[in-house]
Parts: sequence; C-alpha cells; structure tokens
Amino acid sequence: VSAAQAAVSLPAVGTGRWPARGPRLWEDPHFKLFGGNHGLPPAVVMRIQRDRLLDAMIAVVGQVGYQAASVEKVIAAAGISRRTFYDVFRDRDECFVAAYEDVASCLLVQTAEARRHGHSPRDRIKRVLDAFLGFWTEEPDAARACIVEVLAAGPTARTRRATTVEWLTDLVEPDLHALRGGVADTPLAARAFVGAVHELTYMYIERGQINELPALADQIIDSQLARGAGGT
Amino acid sequence: MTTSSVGLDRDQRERLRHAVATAVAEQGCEGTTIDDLAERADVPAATLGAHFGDSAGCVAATYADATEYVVSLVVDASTEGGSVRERFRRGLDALLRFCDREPVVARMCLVETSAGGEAGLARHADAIARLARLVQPARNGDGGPTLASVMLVGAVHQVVGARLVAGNTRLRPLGPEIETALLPFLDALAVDGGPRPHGGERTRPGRLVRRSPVR
Repeated sequence: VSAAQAAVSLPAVGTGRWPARGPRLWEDPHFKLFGGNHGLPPAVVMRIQRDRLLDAMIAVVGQVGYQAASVEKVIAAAGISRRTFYDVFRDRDECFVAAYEDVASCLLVQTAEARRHGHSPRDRIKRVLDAFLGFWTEEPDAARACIVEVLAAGPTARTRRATTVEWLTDLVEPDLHALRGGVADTPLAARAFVGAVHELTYMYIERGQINELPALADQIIDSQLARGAGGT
Repeated sequence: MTTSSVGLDRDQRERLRHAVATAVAEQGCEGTTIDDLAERADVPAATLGAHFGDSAGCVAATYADATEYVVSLVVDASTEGGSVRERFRRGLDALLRFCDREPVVARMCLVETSAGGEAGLARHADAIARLARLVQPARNGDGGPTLASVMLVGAVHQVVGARLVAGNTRLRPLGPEIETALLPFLDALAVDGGPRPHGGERTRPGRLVRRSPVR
C-alpha cells in the first residue's frame, strides 16, 4: 500500500456504503483479484476495477476537492495502475461523471423507495426529505463530491447534476401540488423547493455539520408546508 | 504580491472577470495561463504576475471578486425602502439583468465559484448568508440567517443557476414567473421567527467533514 493510497480512506467492508447497491464483490475479504489465478473473466475484472475507481474518485474528491483530485491520487486510493485507469476511462472528467451517476442512482432509488411508503402528501415529502438528507449524512465524502464539487467538474457533470435535480423535482411535484395548490403550483415551484433543500445541504456541509442534516426535515416541513392546504 | 484583485482598477477587474470566465469555460483551470488571461483581459502579464503569482491565484482571486460583485449588485438594488417582497423583486431583477448582460461571467459567479475546495465553499456560504439577511424581517435581528431566508435565497440561486447551466441567455423576462414560483418561500418568510439553521454558528469554522488526513 503506497503512502498516497493510505492517505485517502476507502470505506471498510460492512460499513453499508451505498446501501441500495449492496456490498462490492471486492469488499469480501476472501475475494482474490490480484496475483493471477483468480479465474474471473476479463469483463468481470474490468467491472470490479471500474467500481474501485468510482469509489476512489468519490473518496478523493470528497476529501481534497475536484481541482486537487488528480488521476494519480485516484489510482493510488484505488490501488489500480494508471494504465488500467485509462483502459476504463478516457480522462478524469469521465471517471468523475461515472462516479457521480453511481451515487446519484443510489440516491434516487432510496428517495423513490422512501416515497412509496408514505401515506399522505405531507408524509411522502417528509420521507423523501428524510431519505435525501440521511443519505448525505451517511456518505460525507459523496456529499461534498456530489453536492458541492460537481459544480466545478465541467459541463457534462453539471448537466448530470441538473438531471438529478429534475428527477427529484418530478418526485416531489405531485405531493407539493396536493399540499400547496394555487398560484405556486408550477414545475418551477417544485424545482425551487428541491433547489432550496440542496442549498441548505450545501450550507451544512460547509459548516461541518453534516450530521445534523436529518433534523432539518421537520424544520423544512414546518417552514414551507405548514400553511398549505391538506398539510396534515 | 497580493491575493486579491483590489489593486486593479475597475475596468481591469471587469475585463479580468470576463477573461477568467471565458478562459476557464473554454479550457478549464489547468489549461489557463497567466499570458492567456493577460491577453484576454488586456492587462500586462507582469501586472497579473505581480498581483497573483500564477494563473491559479488569479482565477481564485477573480472568483472571489466576481462573487463579491454579484452580491453587491443585489444588495445595492434591494437594501433601501419598500416591503420585503418589493426589495426581493428589485434584487431579483438586478440579478437577472446581470445574467442577461454577462451570461458567461454570471455562470462563473452563480455556478462554478460555488465549488473549488474550502475557499469556494466558504465564499459561497458567506454570500448566501449575506443575501439571506437582506430578506429576513428586521424582527429577527442579526443572529444569523434563518432557515426560511436561506431557503428563499437558495431557491433563487438554484433556479437561476439551472437556467444558466442550460444555456438560457434571456432571463429577465422570467422574473415574474420566478417570483410566483417562490411565493411559498416569501410566505414562509413573512411569518418567519426562526428557526435558524444550526443557530447561525459554525461548530468548526470553514472545516469540512473528513474521514482521514489527506496529503
């Protein structure tokens, strides 16, 4: 293990990283990838190496920011060669976009699943907020990488982020419609709601208070929805 | 050598904002050199070098200057007179006019400068907090921005930023639509007596959550 690899912490086995995705194959301590004779098809090996690079990219960007997240640091954290990195990804931007999509897809699965269990518009929004805010609390590196640093990661990454915001907007819009109605009942109003929650998340990351994010859900509901029709 | 663009005159700073925004948009931070910025801004490379040291210092200082510039535009438009909603409308209009006049610089100010390590984080959060204090009722005093005021300013930032990322170049006509979409936030502000996010205090000023030291 190189010094650079040791400097960036990858998640340990069993920490529940990306709970919606399940454990990585390579996180199994009995799994053997390196040293030959592992008997895995090349496509499987490539997939595992790709996953390692995605996790490493999130860890490195989450800890040093996008500008300082060099390919050197990422491959050191992943324990993978530079040649393999460029076999899988064209450049750093492409790797980050793939890593962002990996995180975003898990976030979207979890928020949609949370909404499915709600029994009223207000309860569904509360559950989506709980899932959204709780996700970042569980994954502080991903929070900084995907809420903050994504904005510095080039136009493709910013477009992917906009797609995530649109998806979350579609998720909450029917329930906001049911609660608010009236003149503010527009897609833009729902987008503003999602954007405002992003902004609060950003502020908590900046203040080093990411562990307090889950407590925000009730405050947001009280502030924004308590006076809406059908708010109970 | 300084780390800000304060020593440049007003025209030089304006040209430098535009030069940094277009250069970084076209070739990224890593591909931008002092000579390139000097040529685009029509400012001697020696002057930029003496001020900022290198291109990274110049970009960072310009990001800070650009953020300050856009905050001051909104503050100047919305500080004096009228109800919270009237002041909000004037501030929003000033922001949208700026976006239409300088879309590349606006995208730098509203989108790209929000990232960029701890300095970017702190700069953005400070700007949001200052703007949030503008719209919160005086009865809330100066104990830090309230949750409702941060949500209102954050909603504006995110909605306008999304339009800039999408390449929209005529935002001012959208002002009434944006204001209507934000009515629930303004309503929340009207009865806002708190709570304040985390009491308005940082537990670890400017520090990020980290799992381990990073070299």
